[in-house]
Amino acid sequence: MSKIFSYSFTRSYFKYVFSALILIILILQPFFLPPFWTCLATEILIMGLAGMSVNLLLGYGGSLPFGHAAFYATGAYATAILIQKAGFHPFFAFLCAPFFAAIIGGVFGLVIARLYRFYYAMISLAFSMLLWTIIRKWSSMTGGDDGLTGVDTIPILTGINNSYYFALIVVFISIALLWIIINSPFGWTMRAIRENPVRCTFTSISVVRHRYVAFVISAFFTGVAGALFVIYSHSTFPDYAYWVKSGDFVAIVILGGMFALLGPMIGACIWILLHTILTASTVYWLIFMGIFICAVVLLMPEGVAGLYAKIRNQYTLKYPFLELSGLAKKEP
Amino acid sequence: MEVVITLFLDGLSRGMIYFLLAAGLTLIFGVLNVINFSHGAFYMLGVYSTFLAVKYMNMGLAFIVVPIFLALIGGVAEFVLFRRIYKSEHVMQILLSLGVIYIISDSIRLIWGVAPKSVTMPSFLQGLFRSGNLLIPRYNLFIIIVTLSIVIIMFLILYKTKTGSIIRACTINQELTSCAGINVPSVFLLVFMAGVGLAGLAAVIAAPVVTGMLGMDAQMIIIAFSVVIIGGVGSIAGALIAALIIGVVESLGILVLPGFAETFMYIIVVVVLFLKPDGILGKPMT
Repeated sequence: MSKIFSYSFTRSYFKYVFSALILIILILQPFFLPPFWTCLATEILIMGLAGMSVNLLLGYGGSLPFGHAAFYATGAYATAILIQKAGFHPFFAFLCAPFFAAIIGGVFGLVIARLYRFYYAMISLAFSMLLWTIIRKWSSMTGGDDGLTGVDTIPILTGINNSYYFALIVVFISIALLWIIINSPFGWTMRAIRENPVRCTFTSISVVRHRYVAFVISAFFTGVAGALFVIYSHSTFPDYAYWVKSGDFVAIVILGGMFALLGPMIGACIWILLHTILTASTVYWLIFMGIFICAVVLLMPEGVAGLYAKIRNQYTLKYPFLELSGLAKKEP
Repeated sequence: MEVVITLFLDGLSRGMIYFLLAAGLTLIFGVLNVINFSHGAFYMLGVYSTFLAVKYMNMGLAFIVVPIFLALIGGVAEFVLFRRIYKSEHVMQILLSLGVIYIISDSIRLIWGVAPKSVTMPSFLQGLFRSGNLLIPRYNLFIIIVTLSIVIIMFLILYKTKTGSIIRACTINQELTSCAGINVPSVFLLVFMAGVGLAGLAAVIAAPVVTGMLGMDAQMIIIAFSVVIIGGVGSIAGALIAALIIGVVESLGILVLPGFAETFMYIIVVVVLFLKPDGILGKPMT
């Protein structure tokens, strides 16, 4: 009996106890905290999911995806348009929307997957801005600059608590799927491509094809996040495709740590909490946000998860390029 | 027909402004190998400062004061922030410049407020040139002439002076240059300041024809980066060609498909990146 409370037992099972605690808090939270926190938690979950799908390409794939706002917006607009204009049942629209995002990702990826580093970032940026202009101009379908509002949501999900649980379930399933993908042979191949693409080509791994598939998968999950956001907020706007939003996704990935699976979730947590606190304190919150980003990049480039790994002295295979944080330069 | 020529010249002058902006960017990217997304934010700062400068002095002094002011701020930013990320991953550089964008654009909102600002054109530059049926705004010609002279001055500095050859040497091989006894960090500081100063010049020239709005920085940086990509990173001649192409396409695009001018630019970027990722004249410092 005393063994359960011994030091070594708690240390080894600390991970599981901690995650169980977090899960319990997440599930029971709406009963304890005011609805404002439930709203925040939903937004954190959605943004964390988007960050994790970006991290599939950034942390595990070694690319620089800077245009994922396009897929977020596609998921959001597809849901909204299917519900409002095509009269689909909202749940069915929610299921279909990520596939639209994946299709768009498939089209964009044909061009993007061949490039590397800076050019990858720039062309994904160009594509996302292209989508932004199309969304703004195609007013008949997308509501133009005003966006679409008053989108019906899934009938059982009235009230913020139900939306929160729906988001929680969807995000949970998505994280599980992402975990399976990352720890499959495909995921390990992506990591190999991140470390040394030239060598992978020489071992007859098709770098372009792997990058393409990863891009489409990442687009899919970002579309899920976008669709979830519409279910939660009942509206969608063209700014969801603007490049600054892609920058936000990359920021939360770096902030949370790009080598941990849940890193972006932590990053989203910090980002949204910081955003909420700052907007409540001052009108000029962007300045502090900017200072915060600069501080993170200069002082903590490996993110919260990386910092945690450093503290625990865990330079294991899971975090292979901690030493690259700010030091070595990668060649294309 | 006259409309086409007028629009063409309008596109040329627009392209010249884009070129000045992109020249600073490609200089910084080519020499320092730093992705500087905040270049558009510096440009916005320049436009707002021109508004302030024109209020207290005249336009001619603004031409000198604003670029110097912007260069000083750029120097501070370089010394405090950008210097530390030269060797970092591209992701970190982009993120840092994103942070700088936030800081600068909100500081502008803090100092100048949300109302759009505009600068009145100096009176001797207003008006049109008439040549038969042709109507050309004088300011467009002014922009073209001034930018061309700046191009010539830059070319002379880069290729005919010792400083220029030092800068070119730093682009080609940084370590060897520092082994030859040159203080490379101060060369980098100089190049960064020059780049931001060019953005300031672009801002002063563009100020009478552009309204200063919040959100201008995000818009301009995309155009500037598109120019840099199409023209080739590090190549000023390429930036010139690309900027003129984009300016003319944007201008004539109004004739062809109004409202879709920006779309053409992104399509060109995608096509160029697909066919020739290094850009038209993509080589370091041609």
